[in-house]
Amino acid sequence: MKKWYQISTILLLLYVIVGGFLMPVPRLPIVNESIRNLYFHVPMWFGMTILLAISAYYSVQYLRKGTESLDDHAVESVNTAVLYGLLGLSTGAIWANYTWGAPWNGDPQQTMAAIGILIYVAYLVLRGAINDPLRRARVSAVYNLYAFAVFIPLIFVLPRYTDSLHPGKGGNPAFSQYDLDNTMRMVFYPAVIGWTMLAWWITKLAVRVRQLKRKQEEIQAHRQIQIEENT
Amino acid sequence: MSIRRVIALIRKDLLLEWRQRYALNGLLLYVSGATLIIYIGIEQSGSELLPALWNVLWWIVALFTATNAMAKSFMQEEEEQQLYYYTIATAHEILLAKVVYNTLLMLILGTVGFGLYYWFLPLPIPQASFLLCLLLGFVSFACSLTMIAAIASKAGNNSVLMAVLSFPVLIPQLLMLTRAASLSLMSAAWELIQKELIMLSLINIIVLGVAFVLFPLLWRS
Repeated sequence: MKKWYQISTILLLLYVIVGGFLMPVPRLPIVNESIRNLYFHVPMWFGMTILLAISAYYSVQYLRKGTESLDDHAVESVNTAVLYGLLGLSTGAIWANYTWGAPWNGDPQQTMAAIGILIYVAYLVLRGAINDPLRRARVSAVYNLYAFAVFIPLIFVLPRYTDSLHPGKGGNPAFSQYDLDNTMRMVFYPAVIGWTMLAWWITKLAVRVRQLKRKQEEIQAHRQIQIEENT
Repeated sequence: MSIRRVIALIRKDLLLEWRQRYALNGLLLYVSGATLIIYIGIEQSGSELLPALWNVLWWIVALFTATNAMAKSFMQEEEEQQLYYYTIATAHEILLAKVVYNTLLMLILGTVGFGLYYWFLPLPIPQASFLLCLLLGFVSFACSLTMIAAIASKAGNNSVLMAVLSFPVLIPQLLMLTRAASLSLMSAAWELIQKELIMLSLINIIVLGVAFVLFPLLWRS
């Protein structure tokens, strides 16, 4: 009962991996079998965006309440989101190598995604630059929200009105074509849900590690003081 | 929010700047240095500077000038002085004053900088819309960099941090600016340029709105 989240994530992803490689897919020109990357590449971006939204939510909550655990959730969500972004870029690059002929093509969506990741790497750099934990949490929460406000138009608005090599853009074999295909939908939707659930699971674990580490440091500092008092 | 206090704050910044003339002189030197390097580099190679390249080089010069100019907008005051401002004005007044002051500074620096750049590296500008791109570019640099400067100043006035934080945030605006400007240099239809400029203004409005919501939270710490 308690482990339902973990068990359902594992089952969903097992289904996605097995179904993603074995179930029939429509044959479209250019993409062919590589269309199966849809189950692995696209959910990364869904996961990343959802996690960044969660992180922005935690930052708002942190600014309102100021609890340390809220800040932990905000950072670790960004960490996982950056990981997902890098995975999304690399799965895209491997795929592009076969279908577009080179891993990096200067495609607008590719560039925008890279910039989006840079924005959040800057967030992590900012955190590293401040020593005082209270100030770090507050300033980085503000930057996180500011970054999110720039990130959303960057990812959702800008690439929409430029031509792209991506499927569905500029006359390339399209998303709307897969949407008509019910067998693909049967794997694609569970894939999005499964990968996003995995991302949140990773985040929760990382938050726990962070909190335990902090507790350990506190205990050690406490012991140090006791030893000094005794001598 | 009182307009009188905002004007007083802007006047204070202008006066400080006029007394030291640090930003103005330093940055003018910076722009002319960058322009000269480009000029010498192009002269030496003996090749023609293509309009597309000319455009990109100009925006890079403008970007670096802007980050350097804006970086010091919250640096010149000590912590104690900031505490004093905190007691006499609200956060919104201070942000508004800084944004207006930075816009003015950017307009002056940008105009002189572009004058120098144009003087060394002349290129026929076919449309007046290029000037509009310049103007909107300076305003959007000032709008988005003011908030970043405030964040960087809270992180211990680290100038490396200013560059790290501002470049990714500015890239979307810069992309639209370079595209609009190069369209204008190619004498494209006004509708195409207009689309980019409207998008850019919308992003500026979003960025300013978010800055106004977030700045009080930052300022209080």
